[in-house]
Amino acid sequence: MRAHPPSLLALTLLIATLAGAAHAADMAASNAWAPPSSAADTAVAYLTLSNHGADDTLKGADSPCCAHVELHTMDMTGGIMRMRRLDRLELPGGPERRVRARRHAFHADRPQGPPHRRADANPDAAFRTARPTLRWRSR
Amino acid sequence: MLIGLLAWAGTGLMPLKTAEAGGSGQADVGGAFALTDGSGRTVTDKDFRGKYMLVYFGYTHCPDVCPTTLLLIDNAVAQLGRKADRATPIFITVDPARDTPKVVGDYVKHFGPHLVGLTGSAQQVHDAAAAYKVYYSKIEDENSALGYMMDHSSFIYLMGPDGKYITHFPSTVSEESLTDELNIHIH
Repeated sequence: MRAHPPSLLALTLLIATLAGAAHAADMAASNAWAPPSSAADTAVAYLTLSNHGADDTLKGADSPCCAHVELHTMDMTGGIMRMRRLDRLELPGGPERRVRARRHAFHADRPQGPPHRRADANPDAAFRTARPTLRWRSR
Repeated sequence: MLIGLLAWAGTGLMPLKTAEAGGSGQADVGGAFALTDGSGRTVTDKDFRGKYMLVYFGYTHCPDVCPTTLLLIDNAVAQLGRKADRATPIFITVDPARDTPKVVGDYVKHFGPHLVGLTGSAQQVHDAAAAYKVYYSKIEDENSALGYMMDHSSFIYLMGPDGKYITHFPSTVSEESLTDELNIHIH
């Protein structure tokens, strides 16, 4: 398997930072990863969220790296790709309650900067400018 | 768990073939198309006669399945060794409104030097998708920064040097399996 494009790495690191913010509120994020993405306009990352506290709701995510970050579902039933935006994602509390990574995507639209190609981008530069925040709303 | 907030706006084709696994043999898949490549040149199916085609329909704003599948195809073809030149990977957009020839041309450069990106008018894309029994549908979402998303079939079609259908693979096929199958079918 060839190496993933650098833009992929940048987004993976972004979500890893989001995971750090989540720990402070009984949230744990793990398995952050992103599929290859070479387009300048869109990128995507996945992660598993575990809520060890009270029931909560994920309202969204922000990052100065991207003009927009949206929460989406992605479904491949019947061999047809379907992606839908989510306004909110319920995160039930409890030690075994998890949101599976593959079902929900943080969809970053229009990342800043020129298109990342395999050989000419610097993912570290994108990571250093990232100050992502998660917005939580307790029920 | 909250799953799926669906808002169908069926503007594309009806679902025709949704098999999860690959198939082969008698399927009436493929046929004539006339589209435009990244340089603005008109390209038809006849331009690929004598070569195997690996055809995939998607769109450049797809953040996940399309780039993953195109990279999968590129990796599998690269492992064919001397037979790699016998196969031409082809990406056909189902979103011609955004995917102009330049957009598609720039996009395919990320997935190896051999991938051909094609677009066209809405009717031309419709006709090509219909020939390959590909379903696609525009899903409007005014609250999304994207404006709309495209549902679409996600299969890789292997067509022979005569332009006829040989087999197809789901985009979830492993790189190893795809490489093995291509080695079997491509001579």
